[in-house]
Amino acid sequence: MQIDRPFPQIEGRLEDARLLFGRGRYIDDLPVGPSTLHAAFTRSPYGHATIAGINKDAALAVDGVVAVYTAADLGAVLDPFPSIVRGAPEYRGIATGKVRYVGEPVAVVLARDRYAAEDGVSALDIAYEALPAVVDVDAAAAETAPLLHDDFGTNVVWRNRYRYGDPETAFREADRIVGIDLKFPKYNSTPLETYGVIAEYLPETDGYVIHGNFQGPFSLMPVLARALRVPDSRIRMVVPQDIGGSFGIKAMIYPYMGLIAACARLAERPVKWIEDRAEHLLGSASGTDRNSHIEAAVSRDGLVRAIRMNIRENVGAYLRAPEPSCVMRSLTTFSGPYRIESGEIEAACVLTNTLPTGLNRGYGGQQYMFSLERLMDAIARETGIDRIEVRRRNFLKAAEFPYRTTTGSYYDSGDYHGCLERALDYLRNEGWERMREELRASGRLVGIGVATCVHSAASNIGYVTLALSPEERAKRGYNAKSGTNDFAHIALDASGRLRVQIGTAGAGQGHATAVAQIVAREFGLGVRDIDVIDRIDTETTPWTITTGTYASRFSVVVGGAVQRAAARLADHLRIIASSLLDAPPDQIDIEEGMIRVRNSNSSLSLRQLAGAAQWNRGDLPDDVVQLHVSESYGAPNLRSPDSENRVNAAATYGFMADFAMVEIDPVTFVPRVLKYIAVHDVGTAINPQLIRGQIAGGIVHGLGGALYEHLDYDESGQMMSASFMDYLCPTASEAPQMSIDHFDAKSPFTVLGVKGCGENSAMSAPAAIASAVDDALSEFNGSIAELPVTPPAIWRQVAGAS
Amino acid sequence: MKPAPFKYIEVADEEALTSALADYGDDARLLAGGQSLVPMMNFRVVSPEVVIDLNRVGALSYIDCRDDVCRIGALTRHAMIEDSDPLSRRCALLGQAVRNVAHRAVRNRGTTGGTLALAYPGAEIPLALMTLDTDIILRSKRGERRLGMKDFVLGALDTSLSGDEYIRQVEIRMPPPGSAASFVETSRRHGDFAIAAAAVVAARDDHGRLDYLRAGVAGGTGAPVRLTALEEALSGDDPDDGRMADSVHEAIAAIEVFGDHHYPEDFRRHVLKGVLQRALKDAIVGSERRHVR
Ligand SMILES: Cc1cc2nc3c(=O)[nH]c(=O)nc-3n(C[C@H](O)[C@H](O)[C@H](O)COP(=O)(O)OP(=O)(O)OC[C@H]3O[C@@H](n4cnc5c(N)ncnc54)[C@H](O)[C@@H]3O)c2cc1C
Repeated sequence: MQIDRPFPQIEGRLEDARLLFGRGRYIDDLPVGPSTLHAAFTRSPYGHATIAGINKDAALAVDGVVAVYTAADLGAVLDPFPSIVRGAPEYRGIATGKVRYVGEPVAVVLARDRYAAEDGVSALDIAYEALPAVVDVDAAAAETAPLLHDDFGTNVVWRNRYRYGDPETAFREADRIVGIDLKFPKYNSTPLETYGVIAEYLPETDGYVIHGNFQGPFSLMPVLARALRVPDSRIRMVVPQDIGGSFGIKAMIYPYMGLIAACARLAERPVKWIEDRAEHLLGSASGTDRNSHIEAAVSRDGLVRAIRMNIRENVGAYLRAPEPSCVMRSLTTFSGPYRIESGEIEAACVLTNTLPTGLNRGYGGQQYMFSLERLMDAIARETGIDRIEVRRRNFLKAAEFPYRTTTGSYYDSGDYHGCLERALDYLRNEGWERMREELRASGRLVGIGVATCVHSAASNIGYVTLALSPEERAKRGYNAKSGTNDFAHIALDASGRLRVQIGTAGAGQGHATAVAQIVAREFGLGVRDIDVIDRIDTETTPWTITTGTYASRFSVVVGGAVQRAAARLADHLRIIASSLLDAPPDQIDIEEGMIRVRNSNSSLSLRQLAGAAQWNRGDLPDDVVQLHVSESYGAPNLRSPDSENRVNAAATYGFMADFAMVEIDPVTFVPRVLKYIAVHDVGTAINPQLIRGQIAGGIVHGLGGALYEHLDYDESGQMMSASFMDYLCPTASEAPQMSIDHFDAKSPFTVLGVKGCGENSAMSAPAAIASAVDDALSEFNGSIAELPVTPPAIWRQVAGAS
Repeated sequence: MKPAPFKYIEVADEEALTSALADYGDDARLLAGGQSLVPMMNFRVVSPEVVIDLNRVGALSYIDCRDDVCRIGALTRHAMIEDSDPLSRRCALLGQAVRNVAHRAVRNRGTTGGTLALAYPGAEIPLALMTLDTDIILRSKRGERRLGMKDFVLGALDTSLSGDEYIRQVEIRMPPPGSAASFVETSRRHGDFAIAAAAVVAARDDHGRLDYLRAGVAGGTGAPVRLTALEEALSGDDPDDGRMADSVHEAIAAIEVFGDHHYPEDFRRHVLKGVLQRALKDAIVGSERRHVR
């Protein structure tokens, strides 16, 4: 039965009381026994060096130190982590023979407490012989570059070419070809909470219990299990109730889970490791930096017919799962919101002496949106057509949805013109252009920028296999991959209260609140009438390979499963009520905690019904006493890639219209984002407040990448931003004034019409802000090709122009 | 990020402080606000054998402005300077400088003595003190010394403090009443150390001529620099834009400026000129207004 009521709303979130009063339960809050050892890592001070010798004596002599393990020790119980790319250099999470980036683990010291463990780290004697390092992606790809993995013979660890439509003809017939070269930076998420692992080995079952603030995707669990040489189910993975921010980076904790688990096995004691802030910057994971060339075949009237792109991705010192997936958004949605029917993308992943990369909110989205939106601005500049008009002309039209792109992505719905118009309404009502003119008249450098982007959500795990060639995927024995699935469980207790169980590994997004809203709507209850358990213990929580919080999948996939479970339970309750009230099930309505027979006075409360169903089962017909319902839900339209590399990369496709206003000090060249407008099509809005929070955070995350945050290295491979003195996270003082709104072009395919919203402006803001900086520097013909936009970079551009 | 083992000593008065320093000297570090020492110890950049905590020495925490001199105890928190009425009336520069130091939470802990002893390049309070006429009073079992700021701060992270000495007090000779101050800094985020900062105080005589001008810069300069030649060149009749620009150019050309990975030397010089020019204009125009009033 289809319920059609608005989602009930509450002030704040169900989680707030717990989180705001300090009653969150994070990894470091979990109690450990007195036998637990505490780990600290010795990390490489060199970007590239041979390990000439390790002498453990002095470290072992430190009071409280129990063991020191190196790769040689851990190798007895830990294999390399499998890679998506066959034949890629081994990745063990700890240096063997050589160190390849500053911060790479070289040894683990286990001790009575963390202090003693760090004393052991200080005392450990390691001899290095420095080697020449290479940190720049293009330099590393050159034939003469120092090799990171000698046996591999090259630093280019993966490359592939993708072709869609007919780019040759489009470029031949183009009126104009517009091309630009770009550099996207390496940066991070800096969640408040760093990594944490507590691991124990159980010899009686040859299994592990691992507690960790791991956000998923659980497709990394088999990777971990293979490295630890156990079947998947022999790892009992427990994710604490609360994670202090995840943003993709908390997926990349998996090598540390492997290392700490192996330590626990060797030491025959539980081992706990809480990553510290410095380690997080040096040794966790980062988004991928990229040098690229992008060019468009453009018609006289500014229509883009085809795109060619050459991408060089810097994956750091090792290519580790799920890389090279960061590249894939640049293929599967290369055309963004535009009707671009041909494309050719050449991509390579290159190894350098830098921190290995991984997921970072938007995974590949920010990189390709920066390219595509910089290109649209360049087209506007070269054709003389207004920046917004160029976009409008190329947009898909509302009537064209659902729309199959040339890459196989199946855009479910949208009204790009309408959504952009809504954003422009904000811009006009807030008087942005007048403000810009006034500020300019008083001698200030001010600009307005735009980005219009597609926000794909609930990714199809199959997109990852685009890393392989169609031939490899066609081989016998190859296991295809596709889909994204999750579970929800709902139960009615004897007192009439509903309890929902999900396993999302959420990190403060408010999942419990949204789930309660979905269920409350179905039963016509209040949000606080629903209890939600959101915790993962793989021994008891149902999970799938795609479980986890990533790719903006929660509302689409988990929300879908919850809705289905709730609806099915409601159907059961109607059947039970039909026997108790003697009316056909389809004449029974459930609302406000009451079960009523339509157009009659006959009713009973949810509590009475639950009581009867639990306590008086004998009097009910046998087949109607289901008070526990589990449902799984797989997002629709997701197949594995075809032989032409076409794949629908995600279940749904939202849209974002972003504007940024930037001011640059004309003397010191310090840029600041003054204002930001984000109007996003998120489909059905379950909870506008949660969406607002996601988008506000996304804007500031994107602002970090645009202006402030940079994991940068000098020539020798030293990280020049190894503390918060130099790694500049935007703070509340840097956050712009924001106008955030959502636009609802419901998805026809997802259960609730939702489209996901978790990555949002974290992907588009770098592009919008770069566009605004261009506009601010228009008198100097500035064009930003590289992020972050720093004062010295602007100064060089201005000095070069004048 | 855990410190190496150390011995912790808490002292309650200056006498105990003096003897603890005499006993442990070079092996010890004083703990004031801990806003720099604690992270440095956690990073194991420094691993002192002894930490002498002087937070209980209440006698070192005061602001005492009398006649034309203002005395500030070494343990005075940045926030106390920020909130001090006498200082904001008579020595606005210091208040402006302090507001550029970090965020309030750090200012609640960080101390005058701490920031001076650290001598971090780009630190605001040392720049303000260098620009004003300031003496630093140091003390040890051997006795007390008085040094001008110039003789106290020798360079980046470098001072004349000996191992057994502590900073006791800062003494500022106040600018004349009616002076105008301007502290201009550039940093990428609010609350960061300055990439470049300039401090200027200006006052006029009865005829409206600039007869008191103090100017200094910091950021990429090692120690903060007082620009006495510029002060002389611009005193007297109000400078026009050209004269001001020339003096600024000469002043910044004459000092040593270091570049680093993030901010190359030529960029630093460019912004040093920019902030200095702004601060000069602000203060000179401000002193005009005050004089007219
Ligand atoms: C997030 C953050 C941001 C900051 N931003 C800024 C900024 O923008 N600008 C700025 O200027 N500063 C900044 N600081 C530094 C801070 O404001 C303090 O000025 C600084 O930490 C030193 O003061 P303290 O009292 O904390 O000294 P401590 O950290 O306790 O000590 C620093 C050094 O001084 C020595 N010392 C302390 N007191 C004495 C004394 N009386 N005699 C002799 N030696 C002494 C100590 O032994 C130690 O070597 C920042 C700090 C933080 C944590």
